[in-house]
Amino acid sequence: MTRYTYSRRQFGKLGVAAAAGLSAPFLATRANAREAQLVFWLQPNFNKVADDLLEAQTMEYAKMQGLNESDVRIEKVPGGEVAKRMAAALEVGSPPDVTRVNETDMTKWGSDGHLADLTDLVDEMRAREGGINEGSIPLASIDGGIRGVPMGIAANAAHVRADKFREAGYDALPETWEEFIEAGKKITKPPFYAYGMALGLTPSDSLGDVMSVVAAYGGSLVDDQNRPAFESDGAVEAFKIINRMYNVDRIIPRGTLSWDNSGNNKAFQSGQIAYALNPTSIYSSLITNESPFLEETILERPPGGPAGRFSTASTDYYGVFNASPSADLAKGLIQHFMKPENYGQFLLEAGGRYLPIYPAQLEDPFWQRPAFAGLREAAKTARSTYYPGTLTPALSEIVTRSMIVEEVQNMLVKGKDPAQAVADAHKTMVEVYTRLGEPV
Amino acid sequence: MTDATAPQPSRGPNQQPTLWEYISNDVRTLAFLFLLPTVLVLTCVVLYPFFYALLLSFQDKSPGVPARFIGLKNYIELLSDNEFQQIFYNTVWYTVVAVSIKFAIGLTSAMVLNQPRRFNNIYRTILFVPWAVPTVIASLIWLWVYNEFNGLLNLLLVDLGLLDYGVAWLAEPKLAMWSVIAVVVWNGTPFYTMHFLAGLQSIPKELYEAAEIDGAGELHKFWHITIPSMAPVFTITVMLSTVFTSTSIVVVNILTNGAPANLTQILPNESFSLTIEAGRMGLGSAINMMLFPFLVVFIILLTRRLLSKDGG
Amino acid sequence: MTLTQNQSKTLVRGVGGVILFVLIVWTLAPLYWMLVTSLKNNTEIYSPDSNFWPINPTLDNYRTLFNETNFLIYFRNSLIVAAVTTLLSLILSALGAYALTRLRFPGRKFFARALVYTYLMPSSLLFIPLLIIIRSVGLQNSLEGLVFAYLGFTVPFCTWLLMGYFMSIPIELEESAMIDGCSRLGVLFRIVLPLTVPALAVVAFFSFTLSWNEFIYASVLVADTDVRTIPTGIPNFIVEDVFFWGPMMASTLISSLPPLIVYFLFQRFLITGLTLGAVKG
Repeated sequence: MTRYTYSRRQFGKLGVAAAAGLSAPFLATRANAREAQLVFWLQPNFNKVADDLLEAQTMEYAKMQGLNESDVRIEKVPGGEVAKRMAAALEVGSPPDVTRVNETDMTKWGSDGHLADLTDLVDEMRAREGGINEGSIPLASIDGGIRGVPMGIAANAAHVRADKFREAGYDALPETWEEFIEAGKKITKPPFYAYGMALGLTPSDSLGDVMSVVAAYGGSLVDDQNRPAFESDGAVEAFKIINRMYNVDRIIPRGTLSWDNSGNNKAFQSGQIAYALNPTSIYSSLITNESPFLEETILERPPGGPAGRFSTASTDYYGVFNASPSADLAKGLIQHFMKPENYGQFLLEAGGRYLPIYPAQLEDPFWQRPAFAGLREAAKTARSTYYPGTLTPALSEIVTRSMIVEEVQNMLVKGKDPAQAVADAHKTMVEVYTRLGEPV
Repeated sequence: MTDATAPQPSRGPNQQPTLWEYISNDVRTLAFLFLLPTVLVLTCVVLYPFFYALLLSFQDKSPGVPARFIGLKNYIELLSDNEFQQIFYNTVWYTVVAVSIKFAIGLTSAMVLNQPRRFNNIYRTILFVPWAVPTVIASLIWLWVYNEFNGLLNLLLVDLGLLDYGVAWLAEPKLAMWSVIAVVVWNGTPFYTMHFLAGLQSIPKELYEAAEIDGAGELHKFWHITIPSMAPVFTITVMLSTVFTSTSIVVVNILTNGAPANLTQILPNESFSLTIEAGRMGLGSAINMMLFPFLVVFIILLTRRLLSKDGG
Repeated sequence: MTLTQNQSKTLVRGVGGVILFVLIVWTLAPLYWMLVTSLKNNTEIYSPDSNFWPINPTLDNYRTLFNETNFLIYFRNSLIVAAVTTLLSLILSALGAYALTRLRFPGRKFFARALVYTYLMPSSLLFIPLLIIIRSVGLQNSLEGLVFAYLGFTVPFCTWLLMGYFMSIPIELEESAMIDGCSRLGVLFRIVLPLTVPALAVVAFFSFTLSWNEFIYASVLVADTDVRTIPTGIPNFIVEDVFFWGPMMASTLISSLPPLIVYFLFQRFLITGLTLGAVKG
């Protein structure tokens, strides 16, 4: 009999354990009931001071609202991770309350109906002295509402190592790509390279670098009717130039093809390249990291070509999600961030990462520093990467999937003819536009 | 499922053997109870998702937006895409090469470790270590080893005078795939070594002794005793590894994410990027479904082998 | 040239020694580089001069890792998920394997076959629908959800491995025990399982490392920092900081320790467990 008892007890224990283990997941109720009342995804700027300030402002706001520290959750989500994490978060229905939104994501999430209408917040900002930079509003106007509060204009500035160009006999950054290549050949002494051209298959920087050359030769992604217009002599010419720089004159590090979004930033900061086109987050992190290259770094417009010399700028927004259970808190947080005094302080700490959305703030002595002369000049002439059209869901998919850069890689790596690469890129664009029912 | 009809224990108070005794001695009830949790779990997280994935591949679905049925459009989009063909070819090539190299190194390691040698336990422990290193971690370590400017590999080659300056191992078209494969091999070979060593140790010593009496050399013993005795082990290891290698995205995802020009892109990672980064969940599912028939062939071959022992 | 048996034996052993040396270098070099980098300061890590060992060893990278990143949270989450998954898989698979090898019931073969099929279902195929399913049962963003999903690949594998092992145990032992009046369960717990310890060790080791390792599910089923695990948490360091390789190598080193410890604990069982179990074609 004792034998039976033994096995029974064992069996019972096992059964209970198995049942408990299996049912534990189903009993977990906390998965739906979010602990924090306010969730803010902070996208780090490569600048700890500015990130810390945003964190402090968030906590300050929470305190004003009578929230505890545990009611607020600040998640640092690196820019390159946002798309990934947001896809999962949207699908499981738990997006953050507030996050920074870039232009492509604004178009995608906005047109998928995920973003709340923030027109009232924007109107409040418009009413302030000097108003706001209205140029950033059309892109966020989707389905009859403004889906994001513009929070800064990121001008793409050419970060230039003046010392290296001087050694090669140039007082300033050459004005055209042709001259740039000549200078680059003298500057490049592996493992040091002239041009840290982002060419990886991660969205943002890479397309910016490619389009900075394409624009100089008169090419554009779309026309003013937002139809694909990539196939042009200008684009072919530009592709040839890129091919020359990478394969013939070899003034671009070979590894750029597998760089992630921060690749050019890192290469510049560790002194491996003399030129990088990026939002001024590179410059501001040179300041915070007390980089030895800070003194010799100037901000410029990218070299130009027959069509002119262009720089690009883009707007970042704060967005609130429709799925957010605490939309009022979320809106309040954005209002708090955008109060001129809080916002001004953030911009100063960000060290030139963003140009102010309130034009009046450009008068601040901060922006009169000589280092920013090039940046201000760049911002004045800057236009969108998508000029003369604008982002649409189709173009947003093309950007997110790096379809243009993929063709550049095909040309550089597989020896595809530049004209063919441009034609194929155009063809891909047309396919996406057709699938999404946009005009071609 | 067949067990749903198995006799349920009755709760009659007069029943002589107690309920517990009844349950624990009735084979069918016991089997039903033992298998129930496993069946439940696998239905929820494997079976149901599989059919859901199949359904999704006929839909257009973005994260957080309801799905829309679009028939075969996802498949048509894939088949008319040149990049897809390239990626498909990559996947096959990558799998075949990685599996072959792992096999060769795994067998060599197992044979070397099977030789009588002092401190053999230590060597064995060392050679198995990469298997205990998580693949994500292994990929990150190698990403740093490959670094164009400060990585171990370039520093070493430049120091030895073999190179003038660093090579971009993960961006050079001719090197990228090999660099990816090297990491897969580093991380995955111990799986082979382990199984092969276990196989070698289960070959009866008498076979070798008898051959030696007949005057057989090392090579002869290898071809006529080792290889034939190991055949079943070879089959299972290779098939398992083929399925895992071809469907694992970690190494590619972390090292190159497909660059340069999709030369290192493989189907599962393409599906992952499309789903997660571009939010095209239906298309991502369709990609996986295209790989699936090839896996099924392997699975059928494999189950035949495995289940033959069950029949014995 | 023909060699005598002894000569060829010596030759093979000599060649074996050389190969062994090469294999050990190939295995250890990346790990050595990880260790060395984690002990260097940034100046040394990014200096263009090659230095293959730290000149001024420092623990700064570890300090950064623990004080300025979420590493400890990821580490804790990974430990919980791996441990719970392992425990549950052991229970489920021991029961399942016993039923499939020792109990005669209709549909036995079908189950055994279905098990292998589920085992080989790649997670890269299942993650998209799982994302939707896990949400519908309310397990999104939770460690429980991860454990649940991980059982999908650990249970079939463990069951299958144990089946092979159970079959290698002579059934006569159990039969004689049952004649002595021992119940089915008595047989399982007092005869079969004690004989199965090596295989259970192997199974525990495999499910621990598989769950510690898992990347795809972990990337999509959880979004928040406080439920992220190591495989998806650590790669973020790359994009968060410019000079990240020092702390990164510190984190990879620490993250390799738990599976390594489990491996060292169980390694004496590994070969026996495999010899008698899975490998037996």
